[in-house]
Amino acid sequence: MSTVLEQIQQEIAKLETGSTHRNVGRIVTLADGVAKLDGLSAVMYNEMIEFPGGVFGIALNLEADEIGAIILGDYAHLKEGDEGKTTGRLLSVPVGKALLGRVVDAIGRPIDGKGPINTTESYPVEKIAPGIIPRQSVDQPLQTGIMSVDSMIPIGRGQRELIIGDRSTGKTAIAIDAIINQSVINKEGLASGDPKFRPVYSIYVAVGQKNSNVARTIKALEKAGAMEHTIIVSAPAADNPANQYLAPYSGCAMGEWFMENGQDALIVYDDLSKHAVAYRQISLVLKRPSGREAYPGDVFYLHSRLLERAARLNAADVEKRTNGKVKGSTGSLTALPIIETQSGDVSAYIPTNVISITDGQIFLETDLFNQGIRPAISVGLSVSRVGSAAQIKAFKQVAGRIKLELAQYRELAAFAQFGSDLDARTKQQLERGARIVELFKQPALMPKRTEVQVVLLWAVQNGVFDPIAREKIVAASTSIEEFFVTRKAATLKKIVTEGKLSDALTAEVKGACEEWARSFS
Amino acid sequence: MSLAHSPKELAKKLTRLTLGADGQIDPARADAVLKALEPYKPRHRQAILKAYLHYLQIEDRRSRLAVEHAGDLGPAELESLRAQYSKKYGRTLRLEARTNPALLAGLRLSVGDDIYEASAAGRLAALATALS
Repeated sequence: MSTVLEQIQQEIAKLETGSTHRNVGRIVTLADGVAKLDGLSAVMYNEMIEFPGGVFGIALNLEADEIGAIILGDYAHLKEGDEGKTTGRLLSVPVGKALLGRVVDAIGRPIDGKGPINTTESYPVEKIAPGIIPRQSVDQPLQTGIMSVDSMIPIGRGQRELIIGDRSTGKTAIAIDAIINQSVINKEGLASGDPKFRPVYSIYVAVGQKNSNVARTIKALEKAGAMEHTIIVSAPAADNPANQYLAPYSGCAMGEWFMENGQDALIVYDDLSKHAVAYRQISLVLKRPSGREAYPGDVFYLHSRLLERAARLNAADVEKRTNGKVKGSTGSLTALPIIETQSGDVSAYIPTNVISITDGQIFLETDLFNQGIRPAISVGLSVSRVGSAAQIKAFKQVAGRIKLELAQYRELAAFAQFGSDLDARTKQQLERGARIVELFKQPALMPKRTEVQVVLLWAVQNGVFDPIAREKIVAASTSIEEFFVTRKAATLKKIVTEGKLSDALTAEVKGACEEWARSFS
Repeated sequence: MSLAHSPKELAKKLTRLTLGADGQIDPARADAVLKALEPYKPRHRQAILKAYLHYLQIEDRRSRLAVEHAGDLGPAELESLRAQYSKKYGRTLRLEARTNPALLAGLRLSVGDDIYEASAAGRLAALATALS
């Protein structure tokens, strides 16, 4: 009770004694989540407009005779003639660590039934991306825990890596694995007490998804213990297009808080195709001119201004933004946007737009998925423009040739289909390549630790799996992982602490692999 | 009169012609505009008239200072408000004052789309919004 009284006293003290000025307009038409208003002569672009019943909208169309505004929230009670007034402020969302573990809607309100979120700060949803000078080059790895990604398409902190593929090819699974892996690494690192350890906090933005899918994702994260380091921003398919349009920007604002405070964050936009569709709907209702595929002319800008906000900031900029509170620490926001293609067409409008914005893509193929190669990553079409700059040295030592070997294997496999006699070297390359493909198969929601990946890659490169039948490789990789985790934990720890495979460590790994090979049947 | 312009653009021009030197709507000029529109085709005439009415209503609101007050406000105070806001908006404003007990105390002024709230009811509403 005393808290409520204090709050009222604070609000009374804040009230100005002079007059307040507001600019008003009246609703002329209201349909499909968009209101056209008469008046509002002083409204600014993107300004919040307040309607009766505590409903807010955002002014998006400033025309000579009317204002077009998208309504956020339930507008069923609004009618023609209702007054809308300017608020003088831009849309902001709550930010901070208090949001971790929570599920919020597109404007930051909690929807998980766990009570209000106590934050002291809020960030504007629309913000200009950092310029050139505040940025620092990306050279810290972001381990997804997916072997084919970490070895051949490595992602760095501050990078934008697109995940693109047809429906049901495992795009969301890759993103969720990455989030779970960050949480696993966070728990180990924070428990170790290492002052240099930098946790990565995750934000998952669900745009236009089915509620059942979002619920399943939340359950998977809770089961893996990853929710305590994750924020979920949900704008499901049942939500109005305005919320679906805003959700990625709201999530980005939450991620920017971590970046600007010298911490690291990962944000997943699932998916930007539905985001573009929601924006198309809003634009068409606002009668904006439509272009290719009925998308508005600024659909590229829709995604470019979102993705440019993911960056790595240098320590000087972080210190300036925090007024000196955080010194000597960079901050980063890594973005994993997801795009759904139709029939594998990466040359369609939205996919090509986002490919040209991001720093690489992970391309998933339906054919590979149906062949049982999961994650169904097409190594030939996938790329990371940051590359090995975002890999630890141990990884570079073992993964350097993997992509080339796989490319050679694919070429030879196509040739071998004709059934001609093959020489011993070709057969050996085919066998090795097939084993690498089997090794890269990984169940969903089971990310692998970095040191385990290093051991597995070293093992396959050095023929440890050559005597094992192809169909047993998956079982063998599980077995060798278990062997190292339970009996050679010290070796794994050395890989982490040293960060590279010295001659002595390589000998240790080799000895352990030989020991395992003797016991595996 | 040429109909090369759209009805809305033409209506805007006609509205500008209807305003007197003091920025207020001149009834004689409005009459002259209506007479000038008579020869034109029905569908254009209707569209122009509808737009013309709409813009005149906007101009009327912009030229009017509506003062709602809860208590007594003398003619001198009202005239002072009228002069002050005429200067602020750069045009002569027409005063319309009325008593509104719902304000509880204080004033509410409106010119066009702008509302200046200095009433007790307004502050209580702002407090309610801030707390909700």
